[in-house]
Amino acid sequence: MSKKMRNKILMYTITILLVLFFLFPLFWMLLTSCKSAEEILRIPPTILPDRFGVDNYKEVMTRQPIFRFIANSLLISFVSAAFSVLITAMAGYGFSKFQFPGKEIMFFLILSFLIVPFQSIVVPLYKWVTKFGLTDTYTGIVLPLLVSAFGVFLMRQGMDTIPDDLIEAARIDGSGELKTFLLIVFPNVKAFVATQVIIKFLWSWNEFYWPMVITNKPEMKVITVGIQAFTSMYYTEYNLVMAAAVLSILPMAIMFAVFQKGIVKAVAMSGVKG
Amino acid sequence: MQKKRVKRVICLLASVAMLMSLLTGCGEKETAQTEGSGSEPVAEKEAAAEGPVRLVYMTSWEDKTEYNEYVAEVGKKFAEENPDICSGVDILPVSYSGYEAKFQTALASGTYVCDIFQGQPQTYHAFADPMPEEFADWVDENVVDYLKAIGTYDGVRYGIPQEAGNFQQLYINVDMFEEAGLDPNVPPKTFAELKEMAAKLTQYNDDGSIKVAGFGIRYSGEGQGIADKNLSTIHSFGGKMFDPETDTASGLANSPETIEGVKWIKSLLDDNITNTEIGVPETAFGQGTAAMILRESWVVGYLENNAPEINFKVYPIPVVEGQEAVGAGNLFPWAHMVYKDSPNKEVAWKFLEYLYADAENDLNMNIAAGYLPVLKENYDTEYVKSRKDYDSVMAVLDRGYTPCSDYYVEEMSELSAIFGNAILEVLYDESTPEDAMNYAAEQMDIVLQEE
Repeated sequence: MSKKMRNKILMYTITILLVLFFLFPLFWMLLTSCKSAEEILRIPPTILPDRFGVDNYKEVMTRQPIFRFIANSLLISFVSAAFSVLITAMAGYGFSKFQFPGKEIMFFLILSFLIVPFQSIVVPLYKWVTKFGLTDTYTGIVLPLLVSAFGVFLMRQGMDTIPDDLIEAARIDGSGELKTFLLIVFPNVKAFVATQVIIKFLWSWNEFYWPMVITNKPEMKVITVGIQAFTSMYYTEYNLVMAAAVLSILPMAIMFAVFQKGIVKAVAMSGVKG
Repeated sequence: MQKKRVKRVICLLASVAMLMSLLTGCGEKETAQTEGSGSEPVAEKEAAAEGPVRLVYMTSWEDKTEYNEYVAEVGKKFAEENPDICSGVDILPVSYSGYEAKFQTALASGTYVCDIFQGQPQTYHAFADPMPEEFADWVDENVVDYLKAIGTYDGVRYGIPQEAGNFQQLYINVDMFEEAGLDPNVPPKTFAELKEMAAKLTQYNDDGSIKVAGFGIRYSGEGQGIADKNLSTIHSFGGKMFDPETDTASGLANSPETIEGVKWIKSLLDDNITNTEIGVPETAFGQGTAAMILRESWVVGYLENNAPEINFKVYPIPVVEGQEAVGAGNLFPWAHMVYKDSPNKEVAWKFLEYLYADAENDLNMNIAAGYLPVLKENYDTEYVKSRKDYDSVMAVLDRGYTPCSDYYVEEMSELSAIFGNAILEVLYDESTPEDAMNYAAEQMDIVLQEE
């Protein structure tokens, strides 16, 4: 066997092992979602359930409007991703290409929001949102998610890569500021826009604290909050949690399968994990 | 090509979703009431409404759907009998995981979120309305004796205890007792006997590792939980966590008796009777990897549902010779309270009085939750008498010494976390019992003496 062939086999073996290693938790979750509470406790643990049933899924759907939770999460993630990219792109453009007094101080102030823990502002925020009558509304849930200090930073970095001459040329050709931004600048920072959309989408999907605080009605809950309904003061119903988890990851799994390259690039570009 | 098409479809769906959300966001605010109500929005109730009001009961027992439904059902009856003041009770269920975030934020904001809520008075008394005196006297007279301290803070009663039986009892695996030549009808009466029997019950693998622990201990989780589960043992040895009267932990958290108790727990690890790998006690017991454990009453129902093949009996926690037998108590004093910023406080108290005035309600709620009732009257009922832990519960309730009730101070979570973490340090060989408990006592003194 040639050295090249040996290396290839080795590489494939390592890859397969890594794939198995990373897929195992998902596989285990899937199998556990078919087991009864009694089987989960069994020692030694069994890999396969006694029977592949959907009882846990039925129970999950009976006890909680799980698909409503997923729909809520999707809605909130889409909206916050879309709006935040627009807002942060404009802010980034302003900070990158315009000169105005106090620019750097303002930018620093925006960045400093990154070190303020959300817990420290949640009570006044809750008070305001309640005063506006936005408890239990999508607007109330999504409002604090629309702006992202990290996004402003990221988009400013992106805008810095656009040559000033290009913008100048557009202006000379008679393009207004909004037109220049939308038709010249925005398309040139596509990679950064995609990164911001993906990162914001993932963050919003995983958001737990704020949606939990601001929603009262069961049907307004997002999936991260809804899934907690199967944990109690004393113990967790793992069979139901696993079934709910399987259902909850489906949309993200599909998204990941389709936008895989973009997500990997976004994570690499932003230097942060979801 | 096909991938591109899929992307296009997803983008289209995303656009539709965004458009929908925009429309939703711009639309009418939805009502914030919960299960099955079609009434006015919660957040908009700011002043006491004229005419009948709809009460909101906020609970972190989201999983106890039957319990919550029962409360709503009684609310319906209350409304029928009092149509001029109340139109019903809605449930606002919050998941136990993270409920503190919701409760603290909503209650601290001073905005309307609920009328009645469930919580621990030492943490939530600032958000609670003191109970009307007459009702408070009634509660004192009618709840099981050890629960009298629950629902109170600094001498004021804020709420009515929500559950009973949340104290440590000894669970034994009958089959394992018989296999080891022990009589399951003769449980360990002292901690010395407990250890002796645990040693006989421990089973080992060929490599010497533990297959079945003779006694499962609580060795993981957050500090307050660790303290709560191990305090029964420490109390049995005569130890204590702190004294709220003198604001000191020194001399108690590091007393010879406390250290003796901690050493006893550690000795189970040192003597290879248990280990820190078998899992939480109730799971290990349910899996048949622990022959004995200490846990609360709820485990009876848990085992019946999750491990029906486990043949078990429940006995009172053993005693230490020369020390007082430890009675009921715990570090999680749940109570039903009325929100002080609720515009409907009077109606809320009336409803709570109505709810508990009929002992059957207390019984039915707790049957639904699988717990013991809080009213004395219900301890003569078939439900309580037929429970596997009945004799044990009655024996523990007869014991007068209930030190946990001394700990219901505002800083309890912080103090018990320090205490619990010190126990963990000992269990994981990071410190000696003396050093760990001395350090914990010092830290607890600082917390207790802070203004």
